[in-house]
Amino acid sequence: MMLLLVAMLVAIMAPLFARTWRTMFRALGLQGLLLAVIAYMQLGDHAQPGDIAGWVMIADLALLRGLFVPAFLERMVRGRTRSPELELVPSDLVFWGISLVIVVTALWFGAKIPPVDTLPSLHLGVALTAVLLGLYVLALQTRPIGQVIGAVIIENGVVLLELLLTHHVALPVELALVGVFLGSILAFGVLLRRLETPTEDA
Amino acid sequence: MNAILLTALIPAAGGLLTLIPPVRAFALQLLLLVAVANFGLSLALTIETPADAVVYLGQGYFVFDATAQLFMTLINAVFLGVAGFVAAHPRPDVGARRFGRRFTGCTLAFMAASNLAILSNHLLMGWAFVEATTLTAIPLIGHDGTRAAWGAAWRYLLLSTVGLSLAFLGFVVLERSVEVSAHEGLSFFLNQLDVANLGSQTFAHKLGILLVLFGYGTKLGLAPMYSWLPETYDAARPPVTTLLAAVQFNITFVALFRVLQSFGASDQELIRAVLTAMGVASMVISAINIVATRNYKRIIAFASINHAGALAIGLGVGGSAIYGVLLYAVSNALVKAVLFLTAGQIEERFGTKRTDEIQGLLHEMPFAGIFLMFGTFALLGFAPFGSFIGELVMMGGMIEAGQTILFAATCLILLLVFVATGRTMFPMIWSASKRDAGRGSEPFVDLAPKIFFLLVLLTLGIYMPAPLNELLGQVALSLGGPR
Repeated sequence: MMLLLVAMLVAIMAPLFARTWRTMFRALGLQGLLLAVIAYMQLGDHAQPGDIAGWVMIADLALLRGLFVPAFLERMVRGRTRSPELELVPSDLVFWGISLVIVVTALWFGAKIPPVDTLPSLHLGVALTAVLLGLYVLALQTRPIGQVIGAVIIENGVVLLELLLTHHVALPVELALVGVFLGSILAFGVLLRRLETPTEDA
Repeated sequence: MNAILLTALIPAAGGLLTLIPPVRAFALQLLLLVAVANFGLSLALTIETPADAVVYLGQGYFVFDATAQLFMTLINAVFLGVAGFVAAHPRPDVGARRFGRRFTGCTLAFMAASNLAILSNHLLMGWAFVEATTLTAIPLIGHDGTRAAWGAAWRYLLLSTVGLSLAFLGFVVLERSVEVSAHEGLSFFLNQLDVANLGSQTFAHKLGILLVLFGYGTKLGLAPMYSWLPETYDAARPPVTTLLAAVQFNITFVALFRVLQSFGASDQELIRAVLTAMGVASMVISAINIVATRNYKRIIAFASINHAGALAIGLGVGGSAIYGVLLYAVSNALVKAVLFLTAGQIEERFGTKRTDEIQGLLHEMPFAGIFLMFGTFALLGFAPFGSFIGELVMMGGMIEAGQTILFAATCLILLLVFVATGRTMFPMIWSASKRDAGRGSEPFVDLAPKIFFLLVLLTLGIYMPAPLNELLGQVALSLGGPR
């Protein structure tokens, strides 16, 4: 589990240092797949008979967040953007330094919240890293494509935190949450396609 | 099937019907039919159900209590007014016909989700339905197809999604704090939440509450993440803006009420401090913007932020102010409906949203001028409208709670808003017309919804019917108000 959480941390930070939006979408997909593996392992730890909601969540993470989100967003953006390049965070020591401070602060914060134990602390720290870095990206980005990446990173951070819980939500609630996430991604994709259309001044 | 759930199922079925090509030709008639059915049903259910009754439905996922009774009737009344306005306002151009079809489908889906959000007995389920209303509103906001319209839809989606994600994060943090301290899960069913006995007054618990308030505050247009609201209200067509301002605002308000009903007693100090701070910040920011803006639609939008701030302060003060908050919220839904629908007609006639380019409204559009005048009076909290009584009770609650500085600050901001709004809006109505355009046509069917809203507003200010008073009292009681 420790290795998975470290991999997740790397996958969360990867878009910040990547230079093309394709790589960033793939990093989002990787985050989804890692979340699915973590959820699968958590389900094994707290398995309850007939826990359909848990399996729905794993399917959501693997199929929706891991495969559909990057593929759909890439399809929506393909041929619409002026350049394959994108900087989520300016290539500047100051902005990279702030990113690093956010990561360290989130991990430190995770270690201070009870129960102070290595695995839950790291889990909480990585989830907080995703939420804070997502907000940081949103604060810096003016391009819709960058903003949607920030928003999905936040969403993934919230789900990672949700995986820390031992009590899962009931099936109707899980289905409603999946439906809402799918709807949000579809709306983001459609709007992204319209807004990323090169304008006359491009 | 329980009749209460029909208030969501009827619009949902209507929305699905609009997907069938032959039905599309009658989309607006279908919209009006569903709106009449839904308003009639919600009113009948509210009249026949005692104010203190609590009915659980759908395996406990939904509840019909005083809060649901009050707000379900309110949003369906606004829906009926908007549907009547759109159905009475057909224009021959293709764009308008397409708008009618899209408006019908998305509005019916929006209303289905809105009614379910109000009925939700589960905090996360309620959250999901609020988000669903956001998603169904996107095609309506961006309908004009301009880059500005899609840009407004984008910012609306982005900030709503981020705000609601933070609210969801808050719920997860709350659950985690309970799991750690009490070694059991937190039931998100309202009737099973026993926060006081879980003894989880940890830092994580407080952080969770903070995130939930901040998230829902964003959806209500409260500072600091309010910037989506004026842009969206300005870019969307008048019926869409009315739905956002009078329906979506109130369902988010109900979602916030559900949090207060669950955690208000155990986390009173934190909730009051956060809501008051967000409310004061919103009122200050909106007042500054009202002074600086020369776009009448944006002025009404910033006034909406101002009202959201006043409502947050009222909730923060608590006690007897809660009754005023409810009356103010109900009145404001109707005020915003009157003003945004009128603003749309003025824009259609004059082709501008700038206040300094419009004169002689009473001469060119007498009814629109009268509605804008009375709507602005109600917006500013003049007697004899319901908003006046609501504001008065909230102010009284501040004095009663010993919050004299807050009272003085609120009075000062309201005075500033009063002067700034009056200075900008009233010359549009009363000044002499500089163009020779003649009197425009204003058919009665266009006016009927607004007359209905104004009459209800007057009724709330002059004579409060006993059953409504009892209902308001019951909701206030559930939020910690006096018996």
